[in-house]
Amino acid sequence: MIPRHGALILGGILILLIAGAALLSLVWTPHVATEISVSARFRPISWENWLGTDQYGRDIFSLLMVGAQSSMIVALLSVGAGGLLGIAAGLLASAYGNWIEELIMRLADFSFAFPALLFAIMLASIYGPSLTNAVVAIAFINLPFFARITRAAANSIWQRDYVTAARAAGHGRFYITRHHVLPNITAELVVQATIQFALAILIEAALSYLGIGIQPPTPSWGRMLAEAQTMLFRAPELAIYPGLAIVIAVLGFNLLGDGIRDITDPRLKRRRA
Amino acid sequence: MTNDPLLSVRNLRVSLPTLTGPADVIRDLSFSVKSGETLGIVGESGCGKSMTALAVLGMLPEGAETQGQIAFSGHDNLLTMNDRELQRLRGNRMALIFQEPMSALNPVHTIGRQMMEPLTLHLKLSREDAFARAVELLDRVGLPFPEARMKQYPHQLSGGQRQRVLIAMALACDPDLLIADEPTTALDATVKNQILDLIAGLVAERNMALILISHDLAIVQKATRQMMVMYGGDVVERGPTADILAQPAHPYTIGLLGARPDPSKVLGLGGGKRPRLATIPGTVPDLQDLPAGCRFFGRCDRGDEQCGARPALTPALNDPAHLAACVHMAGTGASS
Repeated sequence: MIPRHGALILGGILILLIAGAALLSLVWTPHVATEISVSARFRPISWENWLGTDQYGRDIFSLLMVGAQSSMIVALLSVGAGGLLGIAAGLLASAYGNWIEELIMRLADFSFAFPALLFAIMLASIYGPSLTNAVVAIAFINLPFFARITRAAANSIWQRDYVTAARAAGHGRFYITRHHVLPNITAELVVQATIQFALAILIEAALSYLGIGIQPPTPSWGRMLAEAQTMLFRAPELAIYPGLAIVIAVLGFNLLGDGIRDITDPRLKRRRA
Repeated sequence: MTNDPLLSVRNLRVSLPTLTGPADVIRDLSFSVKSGETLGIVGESGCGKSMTALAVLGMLPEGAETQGQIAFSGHDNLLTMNDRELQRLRGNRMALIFQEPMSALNPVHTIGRQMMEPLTLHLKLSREDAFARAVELLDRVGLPFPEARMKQYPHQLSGGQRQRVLIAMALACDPDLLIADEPTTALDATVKNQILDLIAGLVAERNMALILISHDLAIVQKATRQMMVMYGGDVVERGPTADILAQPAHPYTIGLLGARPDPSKVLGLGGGKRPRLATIPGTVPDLQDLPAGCRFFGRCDRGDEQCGARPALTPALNDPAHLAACVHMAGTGASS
């Protein structure tokens, strides 16, 4: 049997691990992550290099730590920006209804029609590959997800009696949105944000793998994978480590999201108890 | 106190969009209420009584079309006012008490925060003043330990306590008009009477006008002096509550009163077989298929070709205060 808050605890631990590594890399890494050394190529696991070195002699553990930092920054910024705009759009659609709601939701549908990666590639080919463009692209991909879930959740709150009561008490749409709707859908939005975080990390890795995300020499998991590709038969572990890091981060955020939903959704709680 | 009515509804028509085009949920409704007056609105589900309340508050569902005039406390016509102007009246000059005390409070905010909302919004009180006034109001509606309640969340209160909180919230700005839409339906029978007494007491104390909407004749009898009976969007009978309940003139009102269970018979106290409860045959007509004339036609045992035209409200039983809309009122006294 899985313990009651198993998903939450395991997800939390995995995310703490990744976030801790990212934070620690700001002040300390076992080696300088970007330092190239011809004499230190393809070293095996040792006390000196915890996960060995790659084909340029860089310490893989240090690269992974700094890579975590890149992933987290991109995910944080893009989910933050996409989330804020998407939630605002969803709340607006729900509060005003009518053609405003139609317009926002059809725009969301429209942006869903674009494959996420294709859009990012388009952006990179127009404005050149950079961290900023990766963030913009991923934020844009996140936006309609948030807009949709916010509108759906907010619409159900607008039907509640306490919202009608607030209207009868003379409150406007803005006030009701801020004081009644938003506080009651926060849990759902937090769950969605955690899941979008996992998605953002995956897309960032894909963009960097394609060479249109984070640019060298800044380490990133996606580019580590791309570089390991040419060495797949000589040193397969070079591909396995960044791959594992991505899996841990994505799994961690998904478990965390599931866990938060379990503890905030009273229906699920009752079923488990 | 002036003699002008506080609220005066004239020739109100409300139609809602349906799949087959607009349907009149209220057809030509007129009534007025003065300060200190109590008006009960009675009828089955879907007769238009809640729509009347929503129309007065300017909170009709989207797509609803209105005609007529609702004058309120110096404002010519609420129907032509915009949302911002109405917001200033709602909660401030007129307040609504809800049917469902369990869901009319926001679960994520404390009672105190929700109590203070209207005070800071309409009266522009400071937080300290609003808190003091909120405690005073909770105390007035008979909630014990009001200061402790301010810090509690709705789920920590019982249904009766929540209804008291909602009444306190409705009273916060000393409204001129209080609309209570089935205020006791969700409550236990014992709590029901306490809440009703509370509302009646407050209305008398503050010289408010009360519109009490209910399907429960007993509470209308207890809390109001005037009443009107609605059916299918029309007022079918209007007058002093005591007169209507004592001598109903409209066949629908007669049926409604006849459908009240007689406790002694239902419990079998009088001996013999327990009688079936009386009912009004048929069902409420569909909104999309309302009769053009008298809307009770088809369920009425007196219906004939004269009922094809819409009957006007005319004095019943030679009493100018007691009006009913039926062309067959002559045989009133001898009905079932």
